[in-house]
Amino acid sequence: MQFSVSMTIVTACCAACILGGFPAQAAERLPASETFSRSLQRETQDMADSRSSETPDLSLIGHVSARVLDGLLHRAVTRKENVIDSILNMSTRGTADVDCQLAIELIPNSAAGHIRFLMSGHATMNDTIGTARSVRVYSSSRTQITGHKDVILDVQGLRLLPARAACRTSIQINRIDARNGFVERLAWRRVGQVQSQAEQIAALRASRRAERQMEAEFHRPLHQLQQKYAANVHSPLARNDIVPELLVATTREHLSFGLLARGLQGMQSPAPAPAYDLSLCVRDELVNGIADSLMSGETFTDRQFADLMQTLTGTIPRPLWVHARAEPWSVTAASQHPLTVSFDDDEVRVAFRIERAVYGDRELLRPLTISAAYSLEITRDGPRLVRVGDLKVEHSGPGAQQAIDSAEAQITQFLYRKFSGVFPAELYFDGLVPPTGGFWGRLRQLNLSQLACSDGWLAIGYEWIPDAPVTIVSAVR
Amino acid sequence: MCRRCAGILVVLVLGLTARMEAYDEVALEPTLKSIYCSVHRVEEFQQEDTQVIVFAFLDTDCPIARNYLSRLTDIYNRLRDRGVSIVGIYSNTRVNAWSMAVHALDSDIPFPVFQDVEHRLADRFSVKVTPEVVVVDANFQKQYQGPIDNQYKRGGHLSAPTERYLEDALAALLTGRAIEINNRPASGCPLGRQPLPSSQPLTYYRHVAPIIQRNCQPCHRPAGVAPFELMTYEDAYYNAERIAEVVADRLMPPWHGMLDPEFGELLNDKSLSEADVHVVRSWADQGAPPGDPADAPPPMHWPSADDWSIGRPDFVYRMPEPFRVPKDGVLEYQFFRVRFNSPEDRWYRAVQVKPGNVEVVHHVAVHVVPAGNEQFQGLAAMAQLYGVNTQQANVICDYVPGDTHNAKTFPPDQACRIPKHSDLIYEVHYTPNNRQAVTDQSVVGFVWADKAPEHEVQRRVFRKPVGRFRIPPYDPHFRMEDTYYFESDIDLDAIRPHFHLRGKSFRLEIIERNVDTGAIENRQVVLSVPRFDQRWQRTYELTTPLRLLAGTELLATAYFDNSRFNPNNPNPSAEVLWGQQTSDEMFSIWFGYRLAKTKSN
Repeated sequence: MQFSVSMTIVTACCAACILGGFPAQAAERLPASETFSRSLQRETQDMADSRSSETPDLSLIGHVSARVLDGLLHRAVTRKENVIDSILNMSTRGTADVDCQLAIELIPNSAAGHIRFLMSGHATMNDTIGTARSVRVYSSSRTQITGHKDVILDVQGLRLLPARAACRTSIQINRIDARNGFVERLAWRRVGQVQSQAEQIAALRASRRAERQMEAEFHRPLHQLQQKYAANVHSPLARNDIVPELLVATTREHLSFGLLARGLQGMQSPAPAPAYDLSLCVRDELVNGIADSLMSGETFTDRQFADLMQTLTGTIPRPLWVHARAEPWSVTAASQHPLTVSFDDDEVRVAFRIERAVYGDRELLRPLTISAAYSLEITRDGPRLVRVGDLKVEHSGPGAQQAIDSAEAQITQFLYRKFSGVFPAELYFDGLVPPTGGFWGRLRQLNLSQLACSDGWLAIGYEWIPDAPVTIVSAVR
Repeated sequence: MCRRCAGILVVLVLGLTARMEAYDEVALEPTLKSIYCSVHRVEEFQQEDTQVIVFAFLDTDCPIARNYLSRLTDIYNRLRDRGVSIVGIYSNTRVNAWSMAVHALDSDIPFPVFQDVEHRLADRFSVKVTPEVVVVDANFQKQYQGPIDNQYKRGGHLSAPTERYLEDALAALLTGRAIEINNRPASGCPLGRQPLPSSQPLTYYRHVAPIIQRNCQPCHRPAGVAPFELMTYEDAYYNAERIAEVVADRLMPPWHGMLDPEFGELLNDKSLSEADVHVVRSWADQGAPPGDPADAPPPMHWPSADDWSIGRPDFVYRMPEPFRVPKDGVLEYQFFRVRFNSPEDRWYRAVQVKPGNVEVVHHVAVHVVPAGNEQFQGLAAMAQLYGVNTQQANVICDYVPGDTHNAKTFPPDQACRIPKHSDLIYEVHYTPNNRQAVTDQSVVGFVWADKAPEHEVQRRVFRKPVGRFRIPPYDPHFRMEDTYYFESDIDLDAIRPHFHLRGKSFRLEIIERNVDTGAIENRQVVLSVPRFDQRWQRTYELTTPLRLLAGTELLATAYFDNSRFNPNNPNPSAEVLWGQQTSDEMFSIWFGYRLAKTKSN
């Protein structure tokens, strides 16, 4: 089974910006099934038409099926909870055995992604003791729990709506102890009178507890996710004024998103329709456009290349080792089109243009183009890139034909060695694979099923392999 | 009446004789001991797909046997998928399970190896020398016995073999042909069958008690972690055979690392000397006599469970609340924030992590993170704390089972830093005891340094990436490699390899490569762990720091045993992937070091 992660996909797409994308297999065309993305395209067209005279099209399409979301996030929660409460002037305490299912459903929404986190189950308390003055009431109860928390997803990230829960409680009085028989009889009578009221209050309190529980389960991690998205993705894009126009929508079956491609030149082919449980189609022009915005004229150091490769592959290739006894080096990307990626003919080709290189106290000011082509494979260990031919480090630009002196030849050779670590003969994304077991281990149930690369599009598709549900043990703290 | 009595007597005698014969047969049954010291019978080598078993009689010191290891390895690699099993057998009385494990690691032997206890298997086949092979078919019928080929003999050798007896025999068996000659005389090193005689009368009080007191009582004492005490003569007497066996096999005291002598010695080395092992074994063989109590060494004072090995700590940080570990199930790692948030850097010169409940605490790692309220949970927390590939791990101290480094006092010029405005995150891995729910509230104690030290102690974890981390089912010797380097010149003080249940052995080397081809041109072993035991996750500390220049390449080689002969293996049929639980696997190394005082720094 191949496996990888959504994070792999996202990061790999970023990597595609730099390295040349993901493997695609075979020359088969992307399946043209009628999926939600088609309707998304129609909606996108309508929205774009209404707002702009430019030719609207998509440069990135993705969707995630409801079964993937539910498969990743669905879980049973069993926990014990100490409950201390006061109901109708009676202090109560006991232990609740909570047995709930957490699940996901998608709410149809054409303007944003609408995800509903559901909690359903019950809580039983068999040892509740209520105390009022000298009277002790021993009871058991069962509370049906239903609740949800809605999350809206758009280009701003996540908007978290408050959790809502509705519970229903039934109480069984087992025994009443009192100072004497008279008080006990009075207590029984009183309990009979207020039982339904107590059940309503207990249900209300249980609802609040369930809401708090849902907030604890969902709000904090989602809020942290939102903060990271805002800090690491949205804010940098906003600073560069390149926040993309992102369209997100949901049906009952899919969460879909698309990126408008306005401003890109040379749209040659329509966007393919993703047809897997988790899929992403990205146009090479989008990658190149982002690279233009983020990389033009920027200087990249030896450490940044080392960190990039460590993140992707889990290790730093030997040519990229950075240490006190190695000469530091850096390259400055060309001010125009520093990176050109093309997705065609089942090959990903990448050309990285630099206008300056520094190696120790030596400097090369002639433009260079570093290029490589990769064929793409699906393996049981995920995508594999195999370099086609050799890595090329060539002088480019107006003075390309001029002879190079020995110092320039030396630094060119040096860069060849270094970039053989960035563009190795074989590339696996070992650094992005989740460990087995645990929550994230479920991502291994995503089976890489399609990689296609043609007409300027790279498409990745994963199928969800269902597995047995996992019980997460939460203990009383 | 007399005739009836005589009849009964005859029946009784015959019955008794028959039972004695059966007992003798059982007693003479070959007993094969693995590197883990688990005991096996030859029948266990018969698997469903086994067609041929080759018992290769080897020795640790025989140069002729050593010459044939690569050939046996080659045959094993070529034919293992065709139903040919090769089993290395060490029958020489001098060899024990430990020396066999050392030899297997040093020689990179890929097939399972076993100690032939009391050379019974060698006796059964009348093996006289090493190397010699005995080939049996699926029904355990001997088909061939003799040399592997005709290249190496005692007293001379050919440049290449002209006859390949073993390969020809295997080819014949696999194709159903008859083997031309079933027996050939083997030439090699004679098998040593005589045990080392004991030199002098030995007594408990004079000879053995000092050894036990020094090496066993740290654990085998009241409130110690060992399951029984060894405080009195009676304790030792009733366990004499067991003690003799486990010290001979180097199971006890538990110490599994070997530093190359060129790099000095290991601190806290718990291994017994050969002389001490011989004393204990001979004393047991002599009937474990007590001797004169007046010869006993003075009793030692042992700390109680509440004492701190580092002395009284200046500060003790406890988990905020007790954590309830359920009776059973699998728990993801738990994370607890301890608010520290010092306005200044704090330096500690001693630290000790004490689990609240050793029964369920698999490990504790104490991370340093910026002070705040962020909660850590699940694998996302691991990614946050360690980085995607452990590059940003900042573990300042930890607890792992059986490690003397759990309580560490640094030399006077060294200390560890907790940066200002930091909190501590306790990462705790709990393994339920399957009996009852219990609670844990682990603590860490620090002894502060008065000032910033001359040398800051640093730590670094390197981890094999998760992708393509696959150990095949049933593989007895799966090899994985990883390489590391440091960015500055360092003085290396400590090394701790980490694996789970399939971890078998480990080697750390310094290597040099050809700049152009990348081929390894020079290699020097630093540390070997011939028999890894995940119950004793040792930190191997060097008495003399090892200076490593920036960029020096370290090559770590780990071997995993996913076969049924690994007694810790919960499921040999599983393909094992990288994961947090002990039923999954890991390959990581923790280094303790200091920046070297050089010009580059």
